Amino acid sequence: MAETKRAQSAEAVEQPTDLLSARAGANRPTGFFDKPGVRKFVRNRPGMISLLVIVLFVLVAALIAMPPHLISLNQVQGRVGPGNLPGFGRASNPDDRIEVADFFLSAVEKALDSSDPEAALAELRFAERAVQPMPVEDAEAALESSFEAFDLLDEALIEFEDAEIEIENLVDSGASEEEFVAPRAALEQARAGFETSLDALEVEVEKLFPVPTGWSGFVYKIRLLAGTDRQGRSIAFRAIFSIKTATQIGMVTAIFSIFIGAILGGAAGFFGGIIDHAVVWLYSTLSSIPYIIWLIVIAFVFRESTLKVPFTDKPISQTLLPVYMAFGVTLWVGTCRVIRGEAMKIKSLDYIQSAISIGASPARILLKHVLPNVMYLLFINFSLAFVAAIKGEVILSYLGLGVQGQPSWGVMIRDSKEDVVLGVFWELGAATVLMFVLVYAFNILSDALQDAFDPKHVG
Amino acid sequence: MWSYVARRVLYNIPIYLVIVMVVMVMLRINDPVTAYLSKNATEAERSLKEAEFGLDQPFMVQYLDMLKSIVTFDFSTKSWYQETNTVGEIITPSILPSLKITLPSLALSTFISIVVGLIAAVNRGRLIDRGLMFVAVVGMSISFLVFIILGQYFGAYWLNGKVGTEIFAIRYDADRMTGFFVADWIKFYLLPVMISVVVSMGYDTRFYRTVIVEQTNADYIRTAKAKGCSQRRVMFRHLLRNAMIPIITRVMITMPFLIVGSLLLEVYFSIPGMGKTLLTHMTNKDFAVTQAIVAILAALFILSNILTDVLYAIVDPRVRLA
Repeated sequence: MAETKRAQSAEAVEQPTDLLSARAGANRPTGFFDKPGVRKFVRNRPGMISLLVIVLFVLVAALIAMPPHLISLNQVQGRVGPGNLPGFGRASNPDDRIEVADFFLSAVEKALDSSDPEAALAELRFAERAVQPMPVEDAEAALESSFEAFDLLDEALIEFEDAEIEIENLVDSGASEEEFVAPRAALEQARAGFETSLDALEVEVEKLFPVPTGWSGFVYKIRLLAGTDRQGRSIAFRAIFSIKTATQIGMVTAIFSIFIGAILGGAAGFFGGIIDHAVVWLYSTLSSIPYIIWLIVIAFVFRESTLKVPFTDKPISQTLLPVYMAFGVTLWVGTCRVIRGEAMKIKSLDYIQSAISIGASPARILLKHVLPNVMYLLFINFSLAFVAAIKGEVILSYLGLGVQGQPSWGVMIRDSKEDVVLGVFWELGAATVLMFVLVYAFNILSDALQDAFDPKHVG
Repeated sequence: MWSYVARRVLYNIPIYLVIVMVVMVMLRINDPVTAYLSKNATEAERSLKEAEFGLDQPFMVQYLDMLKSIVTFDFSTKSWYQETNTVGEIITPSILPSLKITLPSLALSTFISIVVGLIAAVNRGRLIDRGLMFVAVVGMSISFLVFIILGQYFGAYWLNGKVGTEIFAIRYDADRMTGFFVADWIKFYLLPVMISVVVSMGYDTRFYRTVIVEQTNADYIRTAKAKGCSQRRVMFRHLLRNAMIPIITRVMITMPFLIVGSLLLEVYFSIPGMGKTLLTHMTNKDFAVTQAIVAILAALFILSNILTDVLYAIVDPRVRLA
């Protein structure tokens, strides 16, 4: 609201120049950025910021999708540590540290137990963190000393717990203040001993599994930024990879729906008659079934289907094609309705009538006169369809009908369901925050476009 | 008036006929019997099953049978998944639970959104308006599913832990029904309904605010004020009645979202409504129930469209003459 006001006052200040140039007549600027709507839009700061955010997201998606993949699919499906680690470096509480050490040691133990220890050891790596190259005997020795450190840690832990129990007993028996001094000192000592042995254990683990440094160390830190999911996979990387999935679904369905919507809506509104009836009838029919029901029907059809997608070897049920189809069937209806109404309105305006009367062809009128005047509607509907597709994907993935074989925000939110009950919010949080930023940016962008080009619009 | 209603009904009948046909054709694209019996069933087994389910008859006969069952609401074919029950016996008990979610959420969300929209519109430009609209956009940007997951966590697990007694059940449980309608409804349905209301409020308040702002600037409001009407009379007699048309449109637009929402809530809270039934039977390759429920949902949807048109005609005399 305030932004609109500011934009209006800015316009009011600039008006004299506009009037002057209008009076001057011929040399009035006519470039793209001089149109009043565009100027108003560019001045809308939240709108521009959200446009920037969207461009950033699309860029990340492109970097992930293009050949030197920023993040590959294998990277997001592999384990990086034990399951359900908290993020933001909060894995520093003793329980999590012990779990991490245990995770790496048991991985080494398993590798040494296998039929070909040397090869298994060489292959052993969790993302950037690989086993230090060493002969099998050395690894066995290192593992042995690590287990010794583990035993020491266990003893320290028992000591610590004993000291704690003693203090609790004293509290229960209502002992005097002096009696607490000795046990407290013992507790502190036990805590210190516990910390030292935990540090010692971690040093041993690091001998086997050095923490990567430099660039790969930085990547490793980002990988653990939001913790790990139930299966020990990096939540941060999965959430970032999902940007690609979401952008892919959003782009394909939004472009498809505005394309079909613009063509059918423009034809219906402009030509009227039988075409209009046919288009209106088509969209009333399609939109009489909510898209979720369409999707369930489409999923039912392709569930057992052995049909292969052209150019790839995957069966249809393993791709995003059913998702595209479900959204494609329903999302163009909104665009079509709006464009049809607008085209009907524009058709009766003087400039179109004059274009008709000087004998311009329908194609020329549609492309040169109608299209530029409904362009902003296409942008608005693009962003509405994009948001609808992203939000729809979450719902479909939850029902098990959506994205298969790659992470998406919907898949992550679905997987986080059981962890939330236990009070673990990392996976849900990461997916929700990224999705929120993108959808919020699109919502603000739609509002900014609406404000700039169609201030009278309702809803 | 009545001729208008008759025209709307007649206009929607062919649409519905085509929908049923499209759905039936689509469900037959990938042979349902093969999917049901798995791929290595013999030809003899297949044709036996086909005959049993009536799929060996010509398509037009199946189509007319389907229409007949819809009109008489008599679905006597056997379900493919729960083979002892007919399709009708599975669908009928699932209608009421769905209505127990959708109708209260529709009524509550419309009422609350209009009130909040009015508050924002009356205070437009002020802090309260900007705050409300900011919250609305934030609400719009968060996935329905997140609302459900967090709603269940905080509304059931967390709250019950804090209070000590169970206010809202974590999920539906037929064995724990007390028999008192209101108590059961509050325990098992109120939480899903509240989640649904919160989700739809983001969209609705923004819309109603814009509608009301536009109407307050209209000439007839100035006239009413000029002739000395009280603020309340202007609001409820003049403004709200004129705003009824966009409001009805809005309610109609939210119908499909309501169906999607109730489907999700039913699945999540395991409420035995139509959406949950549809999904269970669809995943178990139950062709007969899937087909019937989709047809019924489309019918309900078209009926609600006709109802909206009738409501238009009631509140807006111009529509009747068009």
